[in-house]
Amino acid sequence: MAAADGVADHRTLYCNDPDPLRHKPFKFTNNSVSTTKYNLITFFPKGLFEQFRRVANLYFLMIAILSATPVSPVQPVTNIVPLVLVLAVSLTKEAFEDRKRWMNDRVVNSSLVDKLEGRMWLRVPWSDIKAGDLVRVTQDHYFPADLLLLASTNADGICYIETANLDGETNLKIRKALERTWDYIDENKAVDFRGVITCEHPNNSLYTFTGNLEISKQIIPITPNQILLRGCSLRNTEAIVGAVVFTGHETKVMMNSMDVPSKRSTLELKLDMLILLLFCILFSICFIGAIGSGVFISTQYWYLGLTLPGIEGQYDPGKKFVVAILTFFTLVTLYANIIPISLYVSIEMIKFIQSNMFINNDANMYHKESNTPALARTSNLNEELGQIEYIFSDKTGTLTRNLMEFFKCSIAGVMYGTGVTEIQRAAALRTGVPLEEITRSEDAVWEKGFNFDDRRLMKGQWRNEKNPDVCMEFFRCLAICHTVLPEGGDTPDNTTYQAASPDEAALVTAAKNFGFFFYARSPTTIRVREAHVERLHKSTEMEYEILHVLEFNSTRKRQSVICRYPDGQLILYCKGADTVIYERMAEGPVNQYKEATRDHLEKFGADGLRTLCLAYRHLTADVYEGWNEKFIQAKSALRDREKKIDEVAELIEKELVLLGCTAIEDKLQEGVPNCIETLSRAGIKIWMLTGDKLETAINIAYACSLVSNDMTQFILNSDVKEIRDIEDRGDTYATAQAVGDLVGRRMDEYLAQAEQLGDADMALVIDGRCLMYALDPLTLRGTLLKLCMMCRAVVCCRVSPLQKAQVTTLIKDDAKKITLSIGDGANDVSMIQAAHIGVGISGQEGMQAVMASDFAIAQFRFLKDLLLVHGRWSYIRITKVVAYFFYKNLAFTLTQFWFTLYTGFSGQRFYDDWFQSLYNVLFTALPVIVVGIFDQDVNARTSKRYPELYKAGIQNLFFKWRVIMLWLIGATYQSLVFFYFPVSAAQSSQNYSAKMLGVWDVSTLAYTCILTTVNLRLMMASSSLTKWHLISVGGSIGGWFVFVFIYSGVQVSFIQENIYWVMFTLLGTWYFWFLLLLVPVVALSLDLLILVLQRWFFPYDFQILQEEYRKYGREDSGSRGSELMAMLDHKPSLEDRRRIQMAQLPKERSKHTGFSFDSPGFESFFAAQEGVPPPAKSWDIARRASMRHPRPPKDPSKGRRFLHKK
Amino acid sequence: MTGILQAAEAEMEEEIALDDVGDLSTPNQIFMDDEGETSSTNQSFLDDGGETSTTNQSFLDDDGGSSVVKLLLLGNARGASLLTQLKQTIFHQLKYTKFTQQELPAWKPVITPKWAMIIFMVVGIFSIPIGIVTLAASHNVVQIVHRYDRECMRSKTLEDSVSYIQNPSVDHRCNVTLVVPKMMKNPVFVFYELDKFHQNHRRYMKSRSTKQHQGEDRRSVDSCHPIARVSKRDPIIPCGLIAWTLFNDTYEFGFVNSPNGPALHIPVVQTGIAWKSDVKVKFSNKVYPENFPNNINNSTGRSRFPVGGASLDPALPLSKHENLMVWMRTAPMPRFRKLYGRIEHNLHAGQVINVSIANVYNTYSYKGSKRLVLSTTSFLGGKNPFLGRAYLTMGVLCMLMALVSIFVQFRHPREFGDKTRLTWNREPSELYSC
Repeated sequence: MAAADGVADHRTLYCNDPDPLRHKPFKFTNNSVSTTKYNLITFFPKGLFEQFRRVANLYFLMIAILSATPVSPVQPVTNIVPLVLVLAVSLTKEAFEDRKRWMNDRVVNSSLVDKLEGRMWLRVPWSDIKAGDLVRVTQDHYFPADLLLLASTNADGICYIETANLDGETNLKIRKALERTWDYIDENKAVDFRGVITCEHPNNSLYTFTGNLEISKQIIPITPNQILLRGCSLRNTEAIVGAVVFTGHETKVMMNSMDVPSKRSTLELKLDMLILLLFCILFSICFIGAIGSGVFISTQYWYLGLTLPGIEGQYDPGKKFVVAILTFFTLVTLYANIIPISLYVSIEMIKFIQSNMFINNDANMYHKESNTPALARTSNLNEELGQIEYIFSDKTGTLTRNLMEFFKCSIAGVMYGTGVTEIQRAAALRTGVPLEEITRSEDAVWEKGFNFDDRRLMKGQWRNEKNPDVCMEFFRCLAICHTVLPEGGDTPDNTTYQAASPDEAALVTAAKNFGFFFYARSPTTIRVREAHVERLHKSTEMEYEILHVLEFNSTRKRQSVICRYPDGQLILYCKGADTVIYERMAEGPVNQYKEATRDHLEKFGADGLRTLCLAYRHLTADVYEGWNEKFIQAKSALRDREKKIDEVAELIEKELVLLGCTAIEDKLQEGVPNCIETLSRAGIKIWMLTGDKLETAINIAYACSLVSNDMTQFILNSDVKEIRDIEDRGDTYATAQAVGDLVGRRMDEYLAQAEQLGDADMALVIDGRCLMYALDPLTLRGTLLKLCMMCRAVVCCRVSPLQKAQVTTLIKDDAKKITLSIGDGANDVSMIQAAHIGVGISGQEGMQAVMASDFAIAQFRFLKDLLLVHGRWSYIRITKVVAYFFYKNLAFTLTQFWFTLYTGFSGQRFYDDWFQSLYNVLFTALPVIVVGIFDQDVNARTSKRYPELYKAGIQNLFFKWRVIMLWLIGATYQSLVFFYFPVSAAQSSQNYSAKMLGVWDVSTLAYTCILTTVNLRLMMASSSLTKWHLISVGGSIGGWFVFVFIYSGVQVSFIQENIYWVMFTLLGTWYFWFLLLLVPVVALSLDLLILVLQRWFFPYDFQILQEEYRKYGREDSGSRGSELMAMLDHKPSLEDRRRIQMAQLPKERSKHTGFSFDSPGFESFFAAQEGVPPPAKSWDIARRASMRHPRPPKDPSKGRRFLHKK
Repeated sequence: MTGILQAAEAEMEEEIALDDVGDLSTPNQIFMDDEGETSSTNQSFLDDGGETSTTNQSFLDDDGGSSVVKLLLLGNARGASLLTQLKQTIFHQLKYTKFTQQELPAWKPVITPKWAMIIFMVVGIFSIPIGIVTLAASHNVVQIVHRYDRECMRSKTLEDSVSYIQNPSVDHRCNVTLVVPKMMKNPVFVFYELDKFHQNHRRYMKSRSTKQHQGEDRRSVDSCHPIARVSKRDPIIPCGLIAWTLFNDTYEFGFVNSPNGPALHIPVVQTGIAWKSDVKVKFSNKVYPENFPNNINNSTGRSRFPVGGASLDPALPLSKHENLMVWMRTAPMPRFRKLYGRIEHNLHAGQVINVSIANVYNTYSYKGSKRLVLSTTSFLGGKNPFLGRAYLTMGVLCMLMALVSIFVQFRHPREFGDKTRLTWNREPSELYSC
């Protein structure tokens, strides 16, 4: 028992033990969490290590060391100063970012919770909690650690928790304390609690827990049902008392979140390749120089004093090999500038400004309702945003609001409800067919779960409809056939419904609004207050006896309630999927609305609504009695009970009479379909990964226009009869094999099909279980990858958080595509971290996803701005900056190389030390940063209007080797001009006085020309010129002159000895002025010619759009005039026309009817997968109704709208 | 860096304020494009509405822009006030400036063939006259170049040449006759030209001590290796390889009136041949040559160092040795000219000049050449057609490129901003990889 933690296979906790010694042997982490990368001690070593992971920085360290040796042609300070500067800036940035994380952690760690201290509850910060402590958590508060539930204020030790933070589900789950500990809710009793918990070691499995509680010598097993996880919150329960089991980083949530990975953008990785290329150039020119020096060195050059005593090894003509080797190092030091030292730090600065100034402040990504701006949590990945090819999106909370609203219905073959769904709107936008905007009538009601507008049904108007009786049955069905629990008062306004699924709540809310107010439930009855047919403002209390509830499950796809009317009439109400209801309908004229309703179902389905069919059946007492016997038998069966119940239910759910159907809108987040449409036009493929069921997932995929009816759909579902049959036998091994076989067979089939179809649009829907087999690297992974790559959309349903990450990794690592994951809950964390870029949805409860993300936005639709505007710009800017950096350094360094060829390969520097070291960090640094910040090829609106522009980033068009080569050719050409022009012109004497220029005069001139040229070249490269471009370029060139005037004007021998007065000497010569004019023009003319030809013959898309706006005089910037103009004489482009034509083609009629219904299967599903019995079902209504804790009605003074109790 | 950004931001905020009263702030006018209109983002500020900045509209306009259009069509105060309200809300949370919204006024140049043509034309028009002027200047310079190392060396083998040149007891004098091809106006400059002499060699170039030359520290000779000091105590002044290898051929000029008659001595002025900064600062008038290797004999009576270059008069301070300064302003290339002196006489065409050369400088070891150059100067300096040719070539090429641009425009016309050329509007077959 006392064995050291980590050695034993379990750990032991002494709960609430005042003796501190008992805790001694066990080292538990404390409850403070830290998501920072560094702390005060590790900051320097770890931070420096991170910095030196960069090839360039490591290289400069080497150079700095090398330049302190005698082989160096430059003073060491010239290489050390820039390196230190660069490191300092980078480290400061790291420190700044880590500090932000630290502040966040501090907020979390200092949240307060009640802890039992002595005899009373003491408010302590979360970080002060230790394993074994007793804590009390009150309603709506988060659990500070993983707790063992001991007692609850609710009866029976029940508490409700919300796990939205973990899995994104908002419906409540139930946890039940062990009976033995129910009493410890009171502090006086809790003090006496002594328990020893023996449990597993911390692990990351959210749905399992194994352990025992030893209390008063009695050992009770603990199940996951008693565990309250950190990250969840307490709902509908006043308070609970729990014992802390796992703390801090050992909690399940934290174990699930990996280390904050240091992500580097792919462009940066490619940058390393480019640097390697530069190394190759560097080594080849050094090699040439080294060979040359060995060959050159000879005693014949007596003026070099090579025969004098004390010859250095580097110049010893007797040891040519040594000479070559040492010269090699000399040259490496000399040409060190070829690797742009300030590149990384410049890029970091640019990205820092991009993220902190632009992304964080973008009004287009600001969510007004939640007052949330976008947040770039890391600035390393901005340009990666411009190259995303795959987006993995969570469903709930990201694409949808997890808000089910009763939106439309069809009763007796008449469609009601005038609303327009997002998907209709998106479709209208897509096809260009204008949508009639219907103004909402005054009767429209909009509350949680109900968003319906149709005069014909509201305020009792349904009585005037053609079939009022059917309407009434319809509403009754809604009010009776469900498993919802009302809470609060008994008036419509202060009642809230506790439902297992938001769909059910929406349906009951609808019934309430139609005048059938369900307000109370006992285990056997349902009370409904009905606004009766005859009298308008009178309501009748009705009590229906519920005889049986035939529950919903994924096989049955329907739910029935058998009830007895007060007058003794027996009736069965049923609601379910259209397929199952239609199969069980009575023949004949009773079901005359069948066809009309089917049409409506399809219409609803196409509009992305979730449909359910409602039906009823009158039962005679005989039929019922006969059936009831069988049912009771089935219920008491010991084996295969569920199956038997299903079979018996089958017997009574037939000869149904169709009432109509409901359409619930799974409310999408604003602008989602449009955003997805835009993104897919941008060449981005969007995958939906969700824990939801297949139907729900498909439905939402339709709703967000991910999947449409023109697509060939491949569905890989393990929930088929074939598999179920094998499953029923209970042989897990056989089941696994069967599923594996099925998946393999299907995938091969689909792949063959897909290859045949070729270019056609395809979509793959796959569930988590199939995915498990499909992801197997040994067998199916390759096939899966191939299939996925051919599909335009992929929907993965019923996937676990881990699988989400695996799918992401599949594309990221196997397909080598750039991925982005977006999600809002803790179940998305692993996927967010696995992808190249993780985006969290902020502004809602639950910060897990945001904390793990690289970018946080408030709405899915902001991705459009984040990717198409910020990402694209960042990508273009960074590529431009990088290419330019290489150009300017190569051009500069090559002049040195040409000079080396004439110095006997001795490695003499051409430029003054300080000129050379300040070239990168001073005289060419600012303009390129300005370009990195301000450059815009086309403005934001155009970026969004032509999402196709984004494809350039996906194809990496601006950073291909070809582009780099073009720059490098330009650099080589220019370097030749920079060197040979000044040198050739200096071969003769200058001015009337015939004095000759020395090497420093010539090099200073060459340097001046280079600075001027490279700065002007930058202006040529930038697409837009703001005044900051002019200021920075002017400032850089001007700054150089100021510097050189001062520098050459003073004679301080320890700083400079060669440059004294050089500049002034130069200024007095025509040589200087003529060359300063000539060299940049000659150097730039080639680039200009290339630019012109490229634009004319091979224009990039953005260039055409630039021209288009130039042609019309102004860019489509959205100013009032141009906006109107664009509206008035907007000629549809070819592509617009094509789309409109496509939209007008006759389409295959939709077959999708949109059935989906959320049963809270998620948790139990995964629990079952992990081999754990499911926790208490929250939809076990009878139990819940019986244990309900009566609560006083809240605020009865609230206004009532209708249905007055009288 | 950050300071500048802050300033930028501050200014931008100010700009918005200015714009709100309908004033076009001056900085924006820089960004007039070629058609003389302000860039589009400013347009809205000129509107009477005043408050409706473009940025707000784009903020509103997320999906399709219908709401904006409505507002615009309404064009009334309600729309404006709504926008203002929005703007205020945003201000609350975000840093809302043109800078952060990335809507700074900008000029977006589009380089079309038309523009390229104009640019090339302009460059050509400016280059050609400059080329002509500079080429003419170089052309007018009269220059006599005479290589004398071979004719002043009787022996043909390398070894002999070297031993001859290194033997101080032999007479190295050698006579050369030059004929003036054209009238050379006073002053006529005398240069010597060497090649294969790497004054830019790393070991050579750093072997000097500015500190010493300036008189700051006479003992600062560490950088002068291997010609630093004769003994521990005695530094060499001026130290270093450069000074040690000072060129020491001397020339004496004389007019030859008759083939065998006595030559009339032509004086050569050897002052004013170094740049002023060298004379005034870099070489001190308080430092005198000392222990200069070619003057110092060791105990055996032989020079401690093998013979290098010239010797310096220890009585004159360094600032008087202009030939040293000229020499020490090291040349960028292994072939270089250095100013020797000045003849302050006109030399007339056809005149014969006799040069008596003391051929003592060893260029034979490394097979280098020695040339004597007499040259007049233009405003540009000596004869060097490089600049002129470069300008002319550049000018002509630019003109050609201008023609090419015109040709491109006519031969391969492309509609400006032709949307059908967008990659996504082209059929896959039309796509070419570029």
